[in-house]
Amino acid sequence: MERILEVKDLKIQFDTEEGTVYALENVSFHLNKGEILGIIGETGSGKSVTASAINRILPVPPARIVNGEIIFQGKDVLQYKREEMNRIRGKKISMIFQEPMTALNPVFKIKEQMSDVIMHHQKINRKKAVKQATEMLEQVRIPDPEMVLDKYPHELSGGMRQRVMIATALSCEADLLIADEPTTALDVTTQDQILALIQDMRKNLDISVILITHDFGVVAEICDTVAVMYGGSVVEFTDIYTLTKKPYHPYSNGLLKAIPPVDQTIEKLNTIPGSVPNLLKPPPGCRFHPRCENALEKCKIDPPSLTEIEENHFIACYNPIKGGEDNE
Amino acid sequence: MKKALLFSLILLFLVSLNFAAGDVVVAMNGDAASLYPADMTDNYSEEICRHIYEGLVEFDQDMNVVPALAKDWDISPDGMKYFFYLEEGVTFHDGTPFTAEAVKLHFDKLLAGGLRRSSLYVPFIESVEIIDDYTVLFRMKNPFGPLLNHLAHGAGLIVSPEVLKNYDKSEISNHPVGTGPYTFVEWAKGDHVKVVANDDYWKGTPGLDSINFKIVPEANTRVLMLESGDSQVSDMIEPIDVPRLQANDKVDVAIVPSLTVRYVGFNMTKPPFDNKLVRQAANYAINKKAMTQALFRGYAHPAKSVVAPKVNGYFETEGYPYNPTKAKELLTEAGYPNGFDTILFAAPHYQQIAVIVQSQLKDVGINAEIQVYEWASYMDLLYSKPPNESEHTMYVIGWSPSTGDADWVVRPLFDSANWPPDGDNHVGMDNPEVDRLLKLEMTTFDAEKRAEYLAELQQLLVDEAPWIFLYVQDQMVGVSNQLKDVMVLPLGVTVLKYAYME
Amino acid sequence: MNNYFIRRLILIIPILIGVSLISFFIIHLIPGDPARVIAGQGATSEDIALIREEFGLDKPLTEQYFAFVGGIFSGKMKSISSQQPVIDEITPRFWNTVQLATFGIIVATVFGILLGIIAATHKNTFVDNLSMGFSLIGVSMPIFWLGLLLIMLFSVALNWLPAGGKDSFISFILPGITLGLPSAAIIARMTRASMLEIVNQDFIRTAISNGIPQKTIIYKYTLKNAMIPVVTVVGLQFGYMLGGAVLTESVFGWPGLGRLVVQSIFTRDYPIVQSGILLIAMSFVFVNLAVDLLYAAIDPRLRRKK
Repeated sequence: MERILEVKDLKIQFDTEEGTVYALENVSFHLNKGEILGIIGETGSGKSVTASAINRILPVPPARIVNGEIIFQGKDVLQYKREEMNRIRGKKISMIFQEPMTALNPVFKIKEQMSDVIMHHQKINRKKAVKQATEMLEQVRIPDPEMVLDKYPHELSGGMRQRVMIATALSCEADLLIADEPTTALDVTTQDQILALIQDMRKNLDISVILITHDFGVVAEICDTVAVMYGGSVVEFTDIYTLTKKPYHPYSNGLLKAIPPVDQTIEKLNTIPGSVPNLLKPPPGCRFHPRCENALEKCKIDPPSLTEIEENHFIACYNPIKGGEDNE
Repeated sequence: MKKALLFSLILLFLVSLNFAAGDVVVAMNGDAASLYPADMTDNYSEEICRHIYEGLVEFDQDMNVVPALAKDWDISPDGMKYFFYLEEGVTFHDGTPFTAEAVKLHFDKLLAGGLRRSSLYVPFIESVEIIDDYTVLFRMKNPFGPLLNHLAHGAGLIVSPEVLKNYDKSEISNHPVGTGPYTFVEWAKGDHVKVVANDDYWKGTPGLDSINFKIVPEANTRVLMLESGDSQVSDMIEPIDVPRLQANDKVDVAIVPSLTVRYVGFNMTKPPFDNKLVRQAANYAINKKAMTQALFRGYAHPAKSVVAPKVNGYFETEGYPYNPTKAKELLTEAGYPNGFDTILFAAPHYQQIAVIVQSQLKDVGINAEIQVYEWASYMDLLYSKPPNESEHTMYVIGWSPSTGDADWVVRPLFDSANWPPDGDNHVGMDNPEVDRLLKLEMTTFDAEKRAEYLAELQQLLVDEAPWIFLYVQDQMVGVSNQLKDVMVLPLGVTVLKYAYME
Repeated sequence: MNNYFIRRLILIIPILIGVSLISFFIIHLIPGDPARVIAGQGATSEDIALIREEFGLDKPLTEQYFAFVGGIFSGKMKSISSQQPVIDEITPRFWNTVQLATFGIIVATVFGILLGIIAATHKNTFVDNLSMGFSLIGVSMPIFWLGLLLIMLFSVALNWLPAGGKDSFISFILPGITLGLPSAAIIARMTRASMLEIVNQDFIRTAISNGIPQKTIIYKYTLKNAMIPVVTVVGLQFGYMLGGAVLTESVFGWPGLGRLVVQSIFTRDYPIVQSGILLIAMSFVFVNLAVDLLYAAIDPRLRRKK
């Protein structure tokens, strides 16, 4: 399988007035071409920071990339200059966000916002760009694209806006789509439509997708592989089947156990006592150890690194669940 | 960029063209209210009018009355008839010849009342009669000493009969037509009044091509305009700017004593100021020399009479030299050994004076609390009621006789018939001897005799001390030194009638 | 849209009635008699009575108020001081003020927005501190002093520009700058704050992640959004300039309305004061209306809430 993206040992900190925030540490995973990777974790686990780092839209400063590589199509995006990055964003790597309400510019028509992106990347005139935007809106199954193009964002529904976002993101045939909680703000029916749309787009346009979510149901529904994040680190990374069948990491296990009956989210993980670590003062050693039943002395001192314990199954844990737990 | 530079250069060039030699800018403090001389009461209007119009007589630099449109005059021995012999061959700017009829029409309008300067003439002049085309007779109601001064007043500037016949009084102001050396061109309200040379002027072509009276209310700006060459004359320069302008080799400063006496009036109808000794004590308590130095850098002089030295009929008394010991003695004698508390009223522009007076009175035991009233309210305070009913006690104010004659000081201010609200006697003077002398100076037209009465009256008034006599201020006008023969009249009016560019 | 506009226009009427009442009674209730002030010292009681009668100052207040309202519509009301029709006194002055204020607000807006953008795009750098330091000076510098300083430099020392008066286009430059700079400083601060707020909005993140170049993001995507609060400030500043450029007008001898009204307050020239205040209030109301219309032009979200 061709690897389109590989994140290696990413370490990011934020310099804030209260002190250094140890936002990401020990983040590694990869994505094969044409696959959907889910990144799952609680609020504050570092999923969005990871996504923003790939697209390099983290504000630097306050963010500081301490260590790591983000290899996209064979090159480290962290080495690109700003102008080079502007040619990649929207063209090779696109991103959509959680809040379609605020993610579109309120003072410009859809037509203008979409065609600006197309014109910039494809160096074509406004008229052609608008035509292309129309086609793109058709692709995302918007029934009356001309009418939508002529509207301002506030005149559209949430689902419609998210479709416009996706259409814009994919209008220049990006190779990688990063979707940062694309369905969270939508109602259930619309959520399903958007997820289906993402799946379709993956097939039709031959793109790879990173889907960031805290909804395990979403992951289970459409992802090929999953990276579980906790406290700024990837704790387990494998394919969806393996993870649901036999998670090794105690946190992943707790996460799976906590899956509520259909379609509820895990904004707060109640089955594991304790709370998410404060990243201004993360616990030493494994960041999960204060909440971990399996914690050893070693876990309190030395952070475990992500290692492949079976083929394509990575965990960061000194004392994983033995042989995994049968969830059936 | 280059284009912008070129454009601004062209603009600068065009602007510099506007200021050709012979075009003079006068920076004035305020706008004229009216250009109908008989219906105006302010100096700004008068300054402009004195270039457009002329009267039968006019003031020279020293406030002497000299011939203007009347080349000569005779007075009957009883002082009841004035014959004026007019210049011949004079025409108004509209082509109307200047004759006795024009004089009669102008003064008939004033005598009919209803104009803001009618009261200068109505009480004295019975009628104006035409003897022939170039002789006019002014018939008096009673002999009146300063008549010539009243005729030299701005209100005596004669307007073309055509204008007087065709326009009502407020419209006349928009059609200023006189016989003067400069013809009216335009009046941009609040900005400027422009006049150009009257080439047919009867005394020959005027010395300047045009005069632009610009309104510049800010004194600093007037000085800066003079320095930058934006103005050739800047009225009302502050004392603080005089040394700087004197050091500038392109500018002269004309320093001319004004006619204004600044004083602190007493309400003589109320204790303790009904006591002459108290009033005199307050006079001795003030160090006028120090005050003029502090406020005007010496460009003011202690007042030694109720009138200023340049006023016709001035008599210099001893005044009240600074003597705090004597002040205290007088207070003790008057029954106030420990002084007393009182109120010192002032308008905003007199505040500094009030503070100095306050601190010096305190040294002799008089505690004056300062109360500042904005001008219109201040006028109300002093003028709305007779002094014995009014709440004013001590108050800072000044007086300048626009006729240039002492009569226009002593009569309005001290005649017992002129108590507010009918007149300006806000000190509440009611003294039979003063009234007697007033009557005499007013009705005596023999200059020498009249001067004696006026001297006696001034000595009496200084002794009576209705005021703390403060000072007579100099007026300073900045003039480009290329401009010659600019008259700065003590009246507070700058006249370029005879000025020319060197 | 049209309905809204008409409704706003109708609302102006009660505002103007209110302003006319307040200005009338305030100026009449403070002590002082225009006849006395204008006749001056030395006036006889006949002189004063003459003025009072001519201008109806001896009539009851309510009667004077209705005479004033009638005078506005007939155009026959006269200034007590100059005896000229008020409309002839005020119109040229107002026009001068409008011209100067327009020039001033252009200076203020251009400089203010540019400075604000520069400061915002260089946030927390030396350039930002310099721009904001400059704007702090602009806000706190007395107009009076600034004006004289400019005259000293450009008129006296360099002799490039006239020190005062209103002759040609170039006489606008110094008073325009003097009037505009303090407002420019306020607009710059507003622009900076607004830009910085907008830059953190989700839609800017979207634009960045779509690869839109930084210039487009700043000058198009951010600026248009950031202009919404700035337009309010510009409108307010323009309103102030129309009503209260008295200091600038005095320093530069500019024949504007503010100076006329202030001077007329001192002489209690009631017709001028009342009409002037009414005109200033009216222009303020119209500027506000224009700002509201401009809002809708900038922000489509406001277009429906009529």
